[in-house]
Amino acid sequence: MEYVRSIIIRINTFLGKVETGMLCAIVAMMIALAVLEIILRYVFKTSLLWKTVMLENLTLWLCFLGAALASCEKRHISIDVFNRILPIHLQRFRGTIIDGLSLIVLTFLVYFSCTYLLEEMKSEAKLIGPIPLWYAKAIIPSGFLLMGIHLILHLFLNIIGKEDVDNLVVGESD
Amino acid sequence: MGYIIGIGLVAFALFGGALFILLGGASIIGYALEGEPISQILIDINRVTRNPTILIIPLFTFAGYIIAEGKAPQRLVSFARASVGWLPGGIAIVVLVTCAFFTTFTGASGVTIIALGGLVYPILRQTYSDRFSLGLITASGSIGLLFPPSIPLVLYAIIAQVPITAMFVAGMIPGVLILTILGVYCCGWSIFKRTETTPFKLREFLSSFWEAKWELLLPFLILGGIINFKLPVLKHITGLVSLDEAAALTVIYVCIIEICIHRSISVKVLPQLVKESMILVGAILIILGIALGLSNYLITLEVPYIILDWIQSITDNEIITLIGLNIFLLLVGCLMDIFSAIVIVVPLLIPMAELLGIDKVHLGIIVLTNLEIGYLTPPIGMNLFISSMKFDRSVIVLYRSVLLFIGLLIIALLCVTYIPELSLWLPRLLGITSEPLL
Repeated sequence: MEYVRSIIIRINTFLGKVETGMLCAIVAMMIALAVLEIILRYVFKTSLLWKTVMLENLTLWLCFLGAALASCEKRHISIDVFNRILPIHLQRFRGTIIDGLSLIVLTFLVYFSCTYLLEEMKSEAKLIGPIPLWYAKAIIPSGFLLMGIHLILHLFLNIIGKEDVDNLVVGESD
Repeated sequence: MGYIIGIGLVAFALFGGALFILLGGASIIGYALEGEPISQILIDINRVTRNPTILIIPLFTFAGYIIAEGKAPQRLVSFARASVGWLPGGIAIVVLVTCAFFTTFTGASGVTIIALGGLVYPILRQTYSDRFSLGLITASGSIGLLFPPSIPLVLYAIIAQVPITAMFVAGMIPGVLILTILGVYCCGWSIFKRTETTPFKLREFLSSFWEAKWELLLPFLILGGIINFKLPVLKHITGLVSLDEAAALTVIYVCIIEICIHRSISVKVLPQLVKESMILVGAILIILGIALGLSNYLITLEVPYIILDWIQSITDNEIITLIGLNIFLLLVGCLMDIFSAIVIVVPLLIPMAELLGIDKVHLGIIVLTNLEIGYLTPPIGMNLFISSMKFDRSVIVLYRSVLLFIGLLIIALLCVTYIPELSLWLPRLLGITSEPLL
């Protein structure tokens, strides 16, 4: 069991690191894009036509990767009034039920975002140059899928009873 | 059937289910019952990022995390101490002002109490009682969210579709009013208790100002960057960049201050700060994306009008309606954090405000002031729990220590609610209309 647990934790941490790396790259690109735009406007009196579309899609990626990372660390925003007053054994039970229900909703979200993506793939719209726009939109199903994977990993840890109860209390993201 | 689903969803939320899952589940069920195509939800999520104002949330939040990580809190406290420490109650005012400055950048998510609490508590305790100090710090944890570029202001502007510059400017006078009311109380308390003051030293004032000058300049640079002040000279050098460019420049600016000038953080911690800030941003934006779809659905069901009819069947007096609104928002504020509260409640309030003839900018300031107080309101205001963890006191002790501050904030709230000019005078003076700019 200890072996299974360490593997699950390792997978979770690895995915979290990949997500963090991508987020750093996106933030850097957003800043670089803004600076480039200012220089082009005031020095070369021109502008980037694709900047707005690019920024919108970078924000979309940021939203989904950030949310996936929040799932990785169990830091999604929640109301959580009763959890603090439940006894410990009930907290674990509560965690399993809530995670199970969340997983059902996420499965639907992944399914419907895939059908949405299939619709997008039919469109001819482009991101920049020859790159089709749906490449950018692919983050929507992928993001929900990543959240689902993190959720399954936490659910496993919860069921084998190896997750620290303190971590089960889904905290405020601050 | 509908009731069972409703009760199930509420139970899911109260037992700590993630809010975006709750909203996603509600939308899926809603669309399925109506027989609408469910992929509409995804189109709404996608549409959120089309809003140009939303692009600035990630970068301003990141900048806030960089400032909080560096030694900026110490520099600001020593500057505030040197400038107002000589007043009776000066130390308390120092805490108010520094906390307000911080909340502006970190968006009242508890970061202020965690980042500044440990620093200012010992300073307060030299002069004030334990109860007063705890109450003041807990109350200060959310004041300041009316000043630019606070994220709650940005979120409200996006959802209510008012220009963000109007919200930035509208919050200033009410924000200063709240600070003044609390400041005057602290001052009076200190005169009454004859607390010690530190004498004013010009040299200390100048040197601490010089140390903190870069941070102090920041709010002015941001406003000057995005708003064209139609005044001589200023009209040529202000309003030169767009909002998203201002956010990017803010990140570069704070990186230069903290990494190159003060050398208080190293480049190596930046990925960690990206991670921390983007978890918050991702968690907010995913809720926003799903909630916008859900609120469109609720509006097609005419839910806001049903609520409005219900209110009008009880009373048609505007003052009583506004009091009801305040009580409702205070309750929301103690149940939810400010970001989800804005996303969920504001779309329901906008149609009501339009019918009652309340300006959307004014409504925004009322909503934010309420939610700010909701953070402190027993039994489950979030700042109470954060302070209780941070200072290792029971929540009951904190309930007692914040009561008086809640009273003071409610006075401010009543002024903000019933004197619309407090929020609307400055935007009008600067010629900012409530038509969307972009």
